[in-house]
Amino acid sequence: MVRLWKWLPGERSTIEQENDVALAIAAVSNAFAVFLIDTFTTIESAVAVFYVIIMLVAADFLSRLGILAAAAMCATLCVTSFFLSHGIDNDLATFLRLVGSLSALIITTALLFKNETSRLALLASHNRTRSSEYRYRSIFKQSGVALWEQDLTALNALLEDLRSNGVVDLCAYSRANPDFSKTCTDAIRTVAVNDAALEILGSITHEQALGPISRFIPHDCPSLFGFVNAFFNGQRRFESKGRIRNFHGEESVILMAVEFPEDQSGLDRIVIGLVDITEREAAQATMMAAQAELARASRASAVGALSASLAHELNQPLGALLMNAQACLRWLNRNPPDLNAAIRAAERTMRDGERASQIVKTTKAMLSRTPIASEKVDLLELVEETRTLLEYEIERQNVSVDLMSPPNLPPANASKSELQQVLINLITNAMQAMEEAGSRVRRISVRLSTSETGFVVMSVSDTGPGLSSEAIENVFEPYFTTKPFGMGMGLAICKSTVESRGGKLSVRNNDNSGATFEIALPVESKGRLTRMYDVPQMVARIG
Amino acid sequence: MNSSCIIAIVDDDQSIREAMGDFLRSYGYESRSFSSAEDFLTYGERPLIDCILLDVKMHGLSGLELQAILRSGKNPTPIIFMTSHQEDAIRKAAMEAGAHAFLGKPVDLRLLIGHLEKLLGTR
Repeated sequence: MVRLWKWLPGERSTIEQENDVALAIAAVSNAFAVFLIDTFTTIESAVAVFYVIIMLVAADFLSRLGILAAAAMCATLCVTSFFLSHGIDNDLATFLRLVGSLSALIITTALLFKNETSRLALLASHNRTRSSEYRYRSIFKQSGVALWEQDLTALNALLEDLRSNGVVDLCAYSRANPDFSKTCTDAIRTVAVNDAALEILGSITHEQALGPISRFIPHDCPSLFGFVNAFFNGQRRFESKGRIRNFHGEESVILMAVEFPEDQSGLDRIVIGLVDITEREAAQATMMAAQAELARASRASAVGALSASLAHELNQPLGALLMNAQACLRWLNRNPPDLNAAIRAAERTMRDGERASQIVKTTKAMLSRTPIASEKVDLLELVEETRTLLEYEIERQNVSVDLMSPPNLPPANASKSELQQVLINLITNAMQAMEEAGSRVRRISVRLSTSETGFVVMSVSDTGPGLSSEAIENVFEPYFTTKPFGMGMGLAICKSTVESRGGKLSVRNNDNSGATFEIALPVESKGRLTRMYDVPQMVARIG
Repeated sequence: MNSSCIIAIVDDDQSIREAMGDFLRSYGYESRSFSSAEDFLTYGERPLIDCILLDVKMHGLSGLELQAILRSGKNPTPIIFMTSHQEDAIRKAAMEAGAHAFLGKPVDLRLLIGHLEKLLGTR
């Protein structure tokens, strides 16, 4: 549509419109005045240059087309008055004045046209930005994912300060300064939240959610430190599982994700996405507890069924054996002794004894029918995997599990799955011991090393109450237990598992607190394996 | 020795039968061995038996079934059960059906002799 006016309908207020109209009237009347002066006076100067001023005024309310139209009008007036006042015969000076006036008019028009074009481009760009901001806001507000906008400028200043003081390893710094996490949660401030985030934070108002995040993030939450450390190290992305404490003090488990900006310009508005996974975690915990219970129950029932069948099988020959032995004694004790009867009874005793031992042998053969082949086991990898497997329990019981290993630890010769069961057993026992004793410090240290005697050693220490001297003596005996509902089979099975691989499982109390279980396993070496029965004296020294 | 006192051993395990027979003989008791309840039921001189040492789980008729059959007759012979399956339900059923005793395997021999002496008198 052809539009001479600069502003769209509704873009100007009434007063502004009135101003524009007044300006337009002034411009038109001025143009007319200039035309009259130029035409009917004999002022020998380029009066037409005044049209330029009129153009400048008119540019305030005219569109680009309007500017061109106004310029054309001014030029027409200029030329018209030239011919009216000077006729067709002119001197050169008068003609040059006309050319000068027209040139000034053309240049001004070109500049005004360009200016208006730039203004329109700027306006379009501004509109795009505004609609992008609007889109972001509406996504932010409507998103089902909880979004948190944080101002990290204070945190950034804090970290910059540390960096300039020579801090390179934030982990070490945080260990040395226990208040660091608290300082961080105070420095990070929430500037906006969406509805989904408000719900996670305890269905509170937007105003209640703003301010330092220390009210919502427990400062012992490991993911908080992970977040700060990722930011400190210049990572672009950070994702973690963490805990959040809502306005009413209830904790939930969340999954958080954040993308840090490339430069510092966006630091005052970092968006953190949160997903509440409390229910999922609880379901997983229930499932894991059920699995653990099932495993325990099936182990118990397998052991139970085996011992019942063994007991029944053995009862027959043992019963017969006892009767025969008793009868034999009675024949011998007669006066005179009935030697023939005694010999027959003794022979039957032997026969029954052999039958019993045959049953034991068969059972043993049956149980070890499918032995798992020994393989190369990387203990470091095994411990890390096991730690991940038990992650939930470890976190729930607030235990820290440290792992120490020398470089180039040789692999062990064992069965990985068996060894993992043993390690799970040892770590679980340690956690239970610390939990039951209510230990304040709950640390499990897994140390890997090699012994001088060619074994690779894995020790599991805890900070629990340690074992009584009776327990130290008997802890590996079947049916020995210190737990109220324990079966006393776990460690006995662990010991026989380790020994079946040519290794040794031993226990000792620590000097300060807790107990240490130590597994020594033969080093896997190509060709020949170090086995316990090859080097009995070596093993004796290890224990 | 009272030769009219005969003890029947009903057990499907041969070594138990042999050992028990010799053991009883060493105490002066006479015995007859049967490898199943059916064997015992077909035994012609059943009325001469004074006491039965009876296994619970056997091929064919079980000890409890034999007990039920004998109970339906006149003057049922006293029964002492011997079993490795010492479930309470079986013990209860056996005792309620009039068993003299219910012993676990391996049999406590002193206890067994005590019961026999109470039933049959000292040899």
